[in-house]
Amino acid sequence: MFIFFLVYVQAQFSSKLHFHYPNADESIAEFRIINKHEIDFTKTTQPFSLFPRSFLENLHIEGKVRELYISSTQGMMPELNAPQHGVLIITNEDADQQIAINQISEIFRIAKYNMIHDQAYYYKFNGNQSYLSFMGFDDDTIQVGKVLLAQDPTDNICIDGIESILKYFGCNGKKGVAQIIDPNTIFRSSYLSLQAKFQYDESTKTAYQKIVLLVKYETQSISKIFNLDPNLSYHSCPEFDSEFIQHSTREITYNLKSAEQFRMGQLSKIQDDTNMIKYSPKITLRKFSAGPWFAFDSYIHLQVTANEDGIVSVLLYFPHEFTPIYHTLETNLESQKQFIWEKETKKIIINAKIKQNETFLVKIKFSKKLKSFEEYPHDPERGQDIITTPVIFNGELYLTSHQVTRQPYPDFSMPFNILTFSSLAMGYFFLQILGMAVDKFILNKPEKGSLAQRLLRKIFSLISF
Amino acid sequence: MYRIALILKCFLWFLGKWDVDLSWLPYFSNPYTQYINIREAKYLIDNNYNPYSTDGIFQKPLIVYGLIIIDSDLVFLITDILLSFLVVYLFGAKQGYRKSILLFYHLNPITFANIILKNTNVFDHLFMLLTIFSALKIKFLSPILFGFLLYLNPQYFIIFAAISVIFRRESQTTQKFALKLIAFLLISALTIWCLLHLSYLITGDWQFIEKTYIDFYFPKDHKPTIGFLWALFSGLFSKYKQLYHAFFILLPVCYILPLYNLFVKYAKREKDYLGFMIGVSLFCSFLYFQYIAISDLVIIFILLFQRYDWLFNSLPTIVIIHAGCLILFLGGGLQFIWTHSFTGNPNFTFFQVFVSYVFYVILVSEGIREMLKFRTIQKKEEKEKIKEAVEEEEQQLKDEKKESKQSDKKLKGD
Repeated sequence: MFIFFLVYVQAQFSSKLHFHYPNADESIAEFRIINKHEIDFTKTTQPFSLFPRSFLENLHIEGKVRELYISSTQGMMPELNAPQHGVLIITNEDADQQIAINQISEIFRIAKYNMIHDQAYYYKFNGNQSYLSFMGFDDDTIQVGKVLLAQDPTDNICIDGIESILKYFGCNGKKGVAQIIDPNTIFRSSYLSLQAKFQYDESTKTAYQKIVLLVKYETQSISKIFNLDPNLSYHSCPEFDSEFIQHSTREITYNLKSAEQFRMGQLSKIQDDTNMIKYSPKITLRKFSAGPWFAFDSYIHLQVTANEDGIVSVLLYFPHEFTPIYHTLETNLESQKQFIWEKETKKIIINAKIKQNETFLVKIKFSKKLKSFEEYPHDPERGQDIITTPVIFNGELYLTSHQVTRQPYPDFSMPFNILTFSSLAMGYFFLQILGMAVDKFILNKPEKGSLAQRLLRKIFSLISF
Repeated sequence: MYRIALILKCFLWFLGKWDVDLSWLPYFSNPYTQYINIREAKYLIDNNYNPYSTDGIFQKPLIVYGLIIIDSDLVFLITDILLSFLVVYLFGAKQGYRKSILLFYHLNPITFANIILKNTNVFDHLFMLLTIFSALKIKFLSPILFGFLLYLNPQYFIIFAAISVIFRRESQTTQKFALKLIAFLLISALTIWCLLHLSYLITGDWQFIEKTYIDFYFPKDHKPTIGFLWALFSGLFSKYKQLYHAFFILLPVCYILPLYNLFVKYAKREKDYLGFMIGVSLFCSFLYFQYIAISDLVIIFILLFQRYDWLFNSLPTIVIIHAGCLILFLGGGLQFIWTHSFTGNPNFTFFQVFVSYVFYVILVSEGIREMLKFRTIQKKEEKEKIKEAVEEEEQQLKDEKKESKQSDKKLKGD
């Protein structure tokens, strides 16, 4: 973390580890680090970077950033309405869409060309605020047409460098709640989300930073995910003003600043068997892509099974690499379909009434288009992403799984050779036609010149028929 | 004989009620000609959407809406039969050509598959032949039909070279020829404008122009075609794509004057040259087009083979024809290996197309060379005949003079 302290008056550092227990089998650990201090950024003269860069070494933020929020996830966790997508909100004076797009494409594995071409990333600029996100909200209501996710929630791309952010958990990650995080084992969890928020208040000249790490895991495997050696004592980090470990239901809170001795092994023994928050989703989703990988067309199948009566809205999104074949769209229930075209992006919104225990089936064929050389990702073998489909059921947002579909792609090593040979053939033909059109054709033209010249002429005539 | 073949073909078509999907056949249809585009457009129109909002519909609005209104497969069979009669009527004067071409056309599984597939390029071929027919017989209709043809597929502008030759042979002076051409072009342009405006009124906006005239020069489709421009893979690079395509769109324009110059000198009896001339012209134009189907090549070769005596003049040329066709069909097999057997490489397909076109290029240029040779010999023979005729006349005059001298002498003697 590089911060130029010009005026340092007061700082507050706090850390908290909060355990949630949605059901008997799964638990959620929420690590929250908050850092608040006064800094007069108007007097800084050099570019600075604040902690979002910490876990994204290649992220550069220029200009005076007032607010920055990054969220990246691995897995899905609807229980806490935790993010299943990537969001980047930048508020700065020198707001520039290009800078925002560059920054987003550095974070997420999405080609810049896709972002510009598909216009799938909602960007707003209002005065001194630039707002770039994957999900469109107006007045806190989910806008069906604007719900759009582009991050693969099962793709571990943004949290690789977890070791480097542990130092922001205080004491270089050696003390405090950071001790509990084991970078080698934390990815065994079924869900991992990292959010970072930075905010600067101009009036109070206060900078506010928050990092939240959310981990969902099987309750019985807590000791496999976290560093809970029973012989290890917890060491508090002196940089922090407060350190708490909290359990949600019984509201047990351990103030580790004042605790004399706290063994790490104690965390694995804490179980809460009363007032568990039972989470049961209202619908079950299943989405898959059908058809052989080498086919030029493929199918998308979506199944929505409802646990109660309601209205379901499905948003199918096709980037410019795919074209839906609309007349192949089939549903098993009566539904209203709306087709939207936004430049090269195609969306289909399907609304239907569904009864309890009924399954709503959607099936559509799409064709895979040839992409430009620059649009292929670094690993074309991986295939092309078909992002999660947002499904809104009775006002609640659910997300399907993410698919990857492969497509026959050209051999990138050959195009130049093909261009050369093809241009040769075209050029030869053009010269033949032009030559025959302008030259006087003479039968049995007498050959003139020396022996060598006649020989060369003969060889040439044999080669060119 | 060919009447029997035609009746059998129609019977087979009626009996079969062909619902079989032949779109898996490589190269027989392509995104530009496939009937599934019409079905897609119909679905969108029924749901009150502009069919040109989506990608991939390259057929022009009049064809799309026309086929939706007609809604009968019979139109493809009728168009196919009309095509064969027009070919024979226009280019079948040469002995032996008429019957053989009809048999080749009606007994050919490729043309039959084209009817089953309901490829919409059959209307392009029909309008092309109707334009030539009207240029020869009903002059005032030819610019209107040419306008229609260009509206359907601008790649057929190369026919202008053949039409110029026809007009030149019929015009006494250069001034009359020039006026005819200018009038022809103006009326064609007006026709195109009227058709575009009508399409705008039908579809409601000008979106169809971008999708049907501009997008099909920028290939985005995975399915290989036998179009040489597709094999060029120029669509792969976004950096210079527009430069490449502007170049390849404009290059066929450079062929018009050389083709006119090539044929106008030698097309004394243009009917015998006309099919060959149009075949060469179409080959020049379609060399720079990626959405060419096998049925397009069939028409081109039928026209070229009006003068099969020139094409078959040398043994290597026969080998070239067979090799070219064989390799093209082999390319279809290699495409299957690439996409279905996890082996092979798209470059195999590209190279088959490339090698086939090398053979066709040699075939066409050698055919033209034979034409020049034939015409040079013909000219030489004509010169000799004229010389002989002049000599005979002179001899006759000499004899008459002699006789008159002798008769004068006799009279004087008397």
